[in-house]
Amino acid sequence: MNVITRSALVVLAVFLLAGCATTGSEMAVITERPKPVVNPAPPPATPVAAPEPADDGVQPGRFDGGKMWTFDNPPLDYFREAYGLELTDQWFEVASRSALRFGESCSASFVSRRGLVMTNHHCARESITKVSAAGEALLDDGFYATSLSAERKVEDLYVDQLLFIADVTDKITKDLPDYQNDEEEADALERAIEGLEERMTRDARGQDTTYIVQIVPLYNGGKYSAYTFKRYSDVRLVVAPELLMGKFGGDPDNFTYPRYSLDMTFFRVYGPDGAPIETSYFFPWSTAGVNEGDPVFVVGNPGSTSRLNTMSQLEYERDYDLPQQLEVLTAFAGIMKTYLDAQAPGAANGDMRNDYYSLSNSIKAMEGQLAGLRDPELMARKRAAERNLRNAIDADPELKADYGSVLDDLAAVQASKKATARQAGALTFYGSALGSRILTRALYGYAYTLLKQRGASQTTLDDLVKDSNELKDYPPDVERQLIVARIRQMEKYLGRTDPTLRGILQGLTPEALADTLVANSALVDSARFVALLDGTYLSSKDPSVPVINALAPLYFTLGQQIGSFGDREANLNAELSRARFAVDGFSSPPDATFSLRLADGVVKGYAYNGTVAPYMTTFYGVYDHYVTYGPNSEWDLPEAWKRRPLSIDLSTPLNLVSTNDITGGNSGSPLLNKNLEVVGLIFDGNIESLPNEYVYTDKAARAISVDARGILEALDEMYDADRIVLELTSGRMVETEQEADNLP
Amino acid sequence: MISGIAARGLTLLGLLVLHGALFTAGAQTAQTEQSDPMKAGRFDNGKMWTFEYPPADYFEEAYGFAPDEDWFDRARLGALRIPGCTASFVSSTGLVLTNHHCGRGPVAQVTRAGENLLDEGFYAPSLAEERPVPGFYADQMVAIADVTDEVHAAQEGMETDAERVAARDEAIQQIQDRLMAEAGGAEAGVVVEVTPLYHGGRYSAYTFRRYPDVRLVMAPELQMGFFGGDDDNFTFPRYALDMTFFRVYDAAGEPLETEHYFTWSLEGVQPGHPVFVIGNPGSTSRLETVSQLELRRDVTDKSLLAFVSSRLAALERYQESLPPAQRTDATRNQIFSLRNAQKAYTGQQSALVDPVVVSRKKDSERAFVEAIRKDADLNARYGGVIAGMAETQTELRELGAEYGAFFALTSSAYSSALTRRAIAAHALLERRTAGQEGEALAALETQINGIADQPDGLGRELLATRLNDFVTYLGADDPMVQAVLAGATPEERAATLLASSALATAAKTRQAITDGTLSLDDPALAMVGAFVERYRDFQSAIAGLGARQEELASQLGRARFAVYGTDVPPDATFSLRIADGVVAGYPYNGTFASPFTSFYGLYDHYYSYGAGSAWDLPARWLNPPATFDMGVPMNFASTNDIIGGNSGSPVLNQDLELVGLIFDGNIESLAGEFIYLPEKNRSVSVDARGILEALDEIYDADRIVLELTEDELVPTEDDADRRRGSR
Repeated sequence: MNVITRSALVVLAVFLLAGCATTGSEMAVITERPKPVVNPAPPPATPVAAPEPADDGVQPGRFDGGKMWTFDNPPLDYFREAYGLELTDQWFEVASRSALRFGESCSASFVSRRGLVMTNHHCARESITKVSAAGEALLDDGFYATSLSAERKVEDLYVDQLLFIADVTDKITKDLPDYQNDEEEADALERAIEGLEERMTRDARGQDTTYIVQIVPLYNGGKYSAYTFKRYSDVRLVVAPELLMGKFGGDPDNFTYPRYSLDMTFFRVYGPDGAPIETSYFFPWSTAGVNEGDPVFVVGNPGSTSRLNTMSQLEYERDYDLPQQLEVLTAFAGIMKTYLDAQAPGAANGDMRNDYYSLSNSIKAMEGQLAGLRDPELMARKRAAERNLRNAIDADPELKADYGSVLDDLAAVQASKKATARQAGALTFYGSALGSRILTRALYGYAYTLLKQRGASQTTLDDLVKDSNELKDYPPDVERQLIVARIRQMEKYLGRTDPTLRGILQGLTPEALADTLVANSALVDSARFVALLDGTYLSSKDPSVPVINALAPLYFTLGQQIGSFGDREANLNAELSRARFAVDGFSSPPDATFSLRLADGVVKGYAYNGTVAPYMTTFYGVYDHYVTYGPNSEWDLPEAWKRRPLSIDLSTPLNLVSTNDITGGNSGSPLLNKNLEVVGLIFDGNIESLPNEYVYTDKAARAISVDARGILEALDEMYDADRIVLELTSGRMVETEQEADNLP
Repeated sequence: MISGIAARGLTLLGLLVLHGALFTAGAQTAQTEQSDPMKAGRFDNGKMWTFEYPPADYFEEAYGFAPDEDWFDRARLGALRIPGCTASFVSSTGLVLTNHHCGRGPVAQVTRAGENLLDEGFYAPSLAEERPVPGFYADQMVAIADVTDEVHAAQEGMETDAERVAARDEAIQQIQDRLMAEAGGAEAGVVVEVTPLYHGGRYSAYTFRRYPDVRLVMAPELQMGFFGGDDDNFTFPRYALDMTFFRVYDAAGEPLETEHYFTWSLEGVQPGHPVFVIGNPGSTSRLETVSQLELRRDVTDKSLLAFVSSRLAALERYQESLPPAQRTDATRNQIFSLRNAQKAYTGQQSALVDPVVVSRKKDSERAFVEAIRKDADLNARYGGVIAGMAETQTELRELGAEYGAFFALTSSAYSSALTRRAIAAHALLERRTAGQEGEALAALETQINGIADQPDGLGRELLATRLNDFVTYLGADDPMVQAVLAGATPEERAATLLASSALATAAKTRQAITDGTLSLDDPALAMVGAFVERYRDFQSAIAGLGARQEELASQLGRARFAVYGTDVPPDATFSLRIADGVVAGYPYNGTFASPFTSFYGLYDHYYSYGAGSAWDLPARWLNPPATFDMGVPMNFASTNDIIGGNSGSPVLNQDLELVGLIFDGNIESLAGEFIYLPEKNRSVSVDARGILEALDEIYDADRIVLELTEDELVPTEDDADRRRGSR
């Protein structure tokens, strides 16, 4: 299910210095994390894709760019042609205003007139933990507010409702001079966006203090839209299932189908008066559900996709980025697994186990994406699309003059990235929440000392301490192996004679250095480390100091290089996007941007595992998995589910698949029928959907939803939440469960 | 459905001289130390151990228990071979267990007017109602003799491949006759078979006791035996009750008293438990050389897959062209069979292009060549055999275009009736011209007249598909192809031929033969005239190379045995083997498959796919009694190395108790035709606990439950109910 939150690769996102994004430009030099770049990798041990076949006759598909339509440009003709639907402005208004953006990484929707909100359990985990009182374990045990007054407010949680969209492309771009320097250009653009965002927000707040405006760059900056949201800041928890049900099948089942998960949670939005809001925008519940072949619509906030990437960018990702990252992740995961396997069952390794699972999941996701990039058919389609674009640019003298070299310039950036690939390969994921704590903390210590010397603000320094505290200690044995793994990685890419490496090793073997650090460095322990964060770390006698003194210059130089490549690439991407617009006027929707989209699709099974997967699964499957994997597995059941009431109908549909185009960020999106009734709740994609990062296909890629019928059956039979069942099915909100029970 | 697909596969064979094996294979993980996946592994050639070379030491090493001779004897004597499949004794009173898909023929055979036993299932509530299956039998392997020296001696000094083959066949016949006579002859109820192992590197003579009185006891509904249908064939997770019970009766017409049978395990198995499969795997191609596999990859198997796919497309077009009411079950079944064959061959083909498989095969061959080279004596005898095999493959490769163009040209199922009539009629006219007459010609005439009509659309599709094959493999510029097509497209030409030939229908054909009006000018005969010479040259070339290949394979078999002895088991030969393995899940579909499934999953599938699908349930199952425990394990996966022919094999624990019933392999097991890879290959069994739960709760077969659990035979269900009720 992680796939669907924006933080799909959540572990990867928690980079040591990532927090610096908010701490200002003074950090610029050292905040650029070495986003894993180039590796002049030796021939991979794993089989390489077969030689690319001749692309003769291969043409891009009509929907290779996907179906994440924006609400200001919905494809009315296509909807008419595909589904025979004449969709009205009012339809789109209801669809967009009943949908919500949930926090910073998920989607949600209003499902009753009185502000009931539906999203995924995996989007709500943090909120559920937050409202747990002392002695409660609501995340594990689940929660149901038996009355309105028992609904629990979640501090800092908000949902955003999209009200207006305006095209502000001209406002952003018209005053931008032609910069020679990529960094200047990137900065100027950022300032223009921020400035307009501030002005528009100020204007909007004049109308309503809950309004906020966000400028969203679409098509890599080929278009800018201003989105005005209404923000609801009183959001209360209503009902959540047990973690085991929300996450049934755990990380192994993540990104897969057939699936049997009740990944749902309900909240309610309250108004400033402290009462449930009244909203005319909501999606009514469909009690009839769907059948195979039915058209369905997803309204939500897909996080990001890379479908506009050029061949040179995709090839770089295929040959360097992803393989390098996988190499490091696989090595780290192997170390953790060895350690965990050696532990007694039941030993408290919760954090490490979670880290390991997250890593496994990231590996799964990246392998799925890499498989896409190695798929000759997929690449042939991308190549054909690019050939068509190039021909179209070349055919028009004006376009050719403006954009004739962009594709080649982008290829040149990739070539430059390849030139730093050795260094990048050596330091892949260094400075992130992954890997040796000692080495990472040393980097924090180094940054802290230098920043303090340069007079950085206390806030900046405090943030750095806060970030470094996020790193939990690892057992010495794991720590030792992680250090060795990093040094080996450096050895592989830089060579044994590299000066940086020699400076780090100081004549020791990697093993001996690791032993020394683990035995003698204060950085093995987070508390002892924090004590060193007073500006004296670099002058201390800690054995990690010479190591980081040798390592840090390489790290920061590389970071700078990668940053400048990034600016250049962003500018070229924007130029290319303008060329695309000139050629076909954006016939495809833009790449995902965590802003509201409408994706059409059809409920449909697919070929899988030598047979066909059904379009839906049932509660029987929950029990099949529970009894066959056994208690204490990822498919364990909460006690209440083990002793289920006889009245629960196990044949009720639980999960379903459809061809809707979704990605991380869509988690919690409603799945709607053509009448905008809720038929499901998006929570994941299948393993075949991972290559959709680059090209949308619907042959076997599927979005996975909790079936609306299954939600209702569980609320009714398992959670005895008649109050909510009543609200969903009749629209009537009552105060208490008792009141609901007493109704005929 | 391993043997199911195998049997269907064989009907495609026709011309397939080069193509030894059509079955698919099984799986295994176990504790194989596999450091480099690209290097050959210890068990790449599998674990289908023979009883003449029992792997007692390896079992001890792998599982820490040392089975003695008696253990292997009991394992061997409890198992049975039935036509096309494996079975086993499961009671001291002759009760026999096998798969439903192995029992479909017998079930249909004993069905009486007004009954529909295949669809509705059968249970004999009393001994007296168990139904004899005429012609059905079960063979028990009672003796094994090594006759290698005798056969090899007979081949000494033979000059040509053909002579060696003839000498071998004669020696085998003599051995069989002698051993039969020693055992008391056919009247003693004994059968002797000499089986070449290691492609003739070794020869074993197997003596079987044949039980000719086998009666049907219990069979579930087809829908349960075949739950998930062709779609789920070769897959796991699975939810099929693919079982049938028979009983062997003695000469006196009484249930056979046998001391050799497998007792039923009530505890069943757990993940990680070692299990043993006793059965008759049909055939594998694991000992083929790299050059042979490359020929399969590039030519023979590739053509076979293309053949299956193009005929499937033709049948589907034909079916689509008909109004739904006119679509027949026969065509539908043919389409399903082809889809299944396509699934199987696609799985095999993908193994042949899998870099891991290819690398391991090459590595293994390198080691083998090295071992031969290092031994002066072996090198003198076999030093050039692998190269010789490669040369043979090169020659076969040169026939690749014809191979594709003429593949299964005379198949009754997949070639148009017009083509078949024209080929036979062409021979008839030729012989007539050559002056032959009388009986020789009469037989040919009968054959021609016996070729039944196909529906119009179907005949046209099949003919056009063949003409398309000509273009694909021989090229549109080929003079023969141009002569055959006469300037038209394959589709047009097919229509023209059917419209204008005197052989277009059976009636017209009979008329033309009776009237003597048939002439080589007939358009269809002219078409045959254009390709017949090339076709015959091709057949003759293939036959010669086939004999050569067989001989080389036999020499390689001897060399292999000399180098590796019995450390490497021989390729499957549909003779009795024992395969060890463990109950284990595997990485699947982005997650991890549990080794078990349960009856809950059966219902999940029924409700997910819906009534009327391949996952439909019989009425009896729709409302199970409250006492029915859906949490009981239904199917399980294990790493045992199996292949078509193993269907119906018992899965036994260390104490030789029956814990499961083999019925299929997973999709990853299809590579097992060529290599046994333990990571994902799995065999699929019905769990013994699931069988018992179904017999007890759904079929109310207390008589059988009593016999399985208490080894107590009672004559009627009423007796059983009393016995069980009183407990």
